[in-house]
Amino acid sequence: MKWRSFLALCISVIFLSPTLRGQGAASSAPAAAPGAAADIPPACSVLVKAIADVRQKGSDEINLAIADSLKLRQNSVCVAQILAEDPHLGERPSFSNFVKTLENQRIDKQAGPSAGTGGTTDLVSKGVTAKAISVAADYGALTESTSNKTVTVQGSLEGIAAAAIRQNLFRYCPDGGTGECADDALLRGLGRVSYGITFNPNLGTQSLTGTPSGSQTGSAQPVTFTASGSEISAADVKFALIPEATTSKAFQTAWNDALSPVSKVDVSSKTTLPDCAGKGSTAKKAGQGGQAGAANAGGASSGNSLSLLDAAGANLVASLSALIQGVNFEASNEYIQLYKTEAVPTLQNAVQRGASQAELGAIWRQEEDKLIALAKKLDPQLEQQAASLLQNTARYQLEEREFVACIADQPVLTAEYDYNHSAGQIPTSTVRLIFSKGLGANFSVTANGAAAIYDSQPMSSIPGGRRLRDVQAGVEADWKLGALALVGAPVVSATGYFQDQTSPAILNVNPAMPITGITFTGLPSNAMQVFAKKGNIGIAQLKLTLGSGKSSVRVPFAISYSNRTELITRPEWKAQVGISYDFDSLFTSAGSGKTGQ
Amino acid sequence: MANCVLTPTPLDPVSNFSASAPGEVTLEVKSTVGNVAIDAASTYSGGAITFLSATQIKFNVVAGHSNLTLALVFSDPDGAGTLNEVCSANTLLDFLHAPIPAESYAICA
Repeated sequence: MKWRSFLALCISVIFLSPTLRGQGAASSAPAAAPGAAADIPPACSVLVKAIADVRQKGSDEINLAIADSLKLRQNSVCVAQILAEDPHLGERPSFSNFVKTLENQRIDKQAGPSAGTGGTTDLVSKGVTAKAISVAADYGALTESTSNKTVTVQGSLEGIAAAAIRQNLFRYCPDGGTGECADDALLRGLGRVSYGITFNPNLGTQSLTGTPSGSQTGSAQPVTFTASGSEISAADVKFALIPEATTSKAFQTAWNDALSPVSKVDVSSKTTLPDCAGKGSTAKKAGQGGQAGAANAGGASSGNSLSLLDAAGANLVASLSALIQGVNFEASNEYIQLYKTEAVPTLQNAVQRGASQAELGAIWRQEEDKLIALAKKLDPQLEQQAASLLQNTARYQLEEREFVACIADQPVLTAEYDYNHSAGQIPTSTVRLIFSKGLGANFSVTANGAAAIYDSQPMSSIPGGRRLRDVQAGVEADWKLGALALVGAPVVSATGYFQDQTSPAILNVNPAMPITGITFTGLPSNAMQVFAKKGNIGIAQLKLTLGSGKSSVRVPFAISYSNRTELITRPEWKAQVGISYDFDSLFTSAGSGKTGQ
Repeated sequence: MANCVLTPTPLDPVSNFSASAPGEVTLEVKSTVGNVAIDAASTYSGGAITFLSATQIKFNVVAGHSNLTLALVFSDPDGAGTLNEVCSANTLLDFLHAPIPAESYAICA
């Protein structure tokens, strides 16, 4: 099917495109500073760069930067990275255990169907879906003439990867460390792709037809059975062309609000706290029957993300404290002498004579190696404590990343491909562009433009029948009402939708398999397809989504008015309803325990 | 504006700051690249810290040696910032970098 090819293409772009990986690395991973020695781990290169950056400043700042790069309390993650890359450490029991542990453990959202899938509450699609996975059930219709029930499973590829990391199936290495691990660039790439599969739970969706396949034997007749219809009525994949931003005023507000002391006490009390689950809510697209648009089901709530971040922070602080308190080499005269009389003066001299950043890196590595060698000699526990710190740092940085992604703005521009195979209809493919814009902390606007084609050429006997089925445009404005008692943080949405039917809506008919909800009278026995008069469809919808915010459950109620539907040429009022559940909380909590303690 | 209490001791490998006297100190993180905030998991002398905002904390420096351990939240993987004392001189205490999200400071009062 075409959607499979498109999905394969998207995944290929993410995994194979050096441009994408490169951009991600440049924008996110703390790549080695320009000019820094190649054998300096990422967490250390920023310290060397900091020394280079203050070369022209006063001695106080220079000494601070030098101390920052040499003192274990301040460069502990850097020291842990150096210890982890030491080939001799693999022979030692403590590091072996660390490696063994890792090896053993390897192994902005839309919850409802996309617009136009039938059985959706959403007239427009949104940019992203749930982080890990969400399930939504919807009932209603928008452009369709009959109401359908649908169940939609949605998620993002990043959510699957993050869940696997939390379960310690593989490591997170934000700076692109060595070995099998997921770096920040990879997660960013995966985060650009989300998927959705819509099932039609209606009985009789799939029917079997038996035709004779051989000669009758007595009263027995061999037949060949063929299936028609499918439980999968639609599938979609989205790719964020312009990903979310972390520089907007809305992000600043959300950042401060989420991390302020008040929100740490009660996240739900912050009315402006972003609703991560809502980010990806793939509002069902009009034209798919059973549409109610389970807005924003899916992603982890920001409260959940913050809890995970705080939990990971507690583990990180504990492991750093254990490292600091578990070693005592810093107080030895030998170490103090090496630090005071050799390491610091050598770097001070290098700065004073105007050494380049590369030279500083080489000199720093030489001095740091001496300090680490002495520290290891004085304190055999250093490596084990460092391994624990490294593991907890990676976990903390993953939760930090997920938290930032949770409160970041929705993708500015997203491309979407939908494959739609509703019962009784010719399969269609839709390409859609989704534009999202936040307007302050509580308002956002989402606009869609789309074109749908029939996957096969309509019969020539159908007047006006063309491959181009329709073109669509829609605009949705969302207003977060803030936290309210009993109903969570509701969202009110107003949507306008326009569809130009360039080809009549066509239904496949088979007297042996009637289409659910449609009854034909007086139809010729040889009719294989029926079609309705084409025209322009205009729809206005008002929707209330309950349960947004901290809750994992969302319930959208909507009412819509249309001048016509795809089959019925008179105005209609319709109602849509849905419910969705975000499973992110289950995935994230399962692996959020302490690690490496 | 309060008088400054802490002074960095970069040449001393054992301690990070010397305090002029035991007493209340307010610290803040300032972002230079992206956003930086202090995570709730941060501790002083093994106990919780009073948060004035996402970027400011307050605690009472005790006599002798004590430990301040900060977990920092950065919005950008390349994020950076500084740790300063909220006082008349706004003393620069440390440089902060996203790849090193936790730092520990020994305070000698």
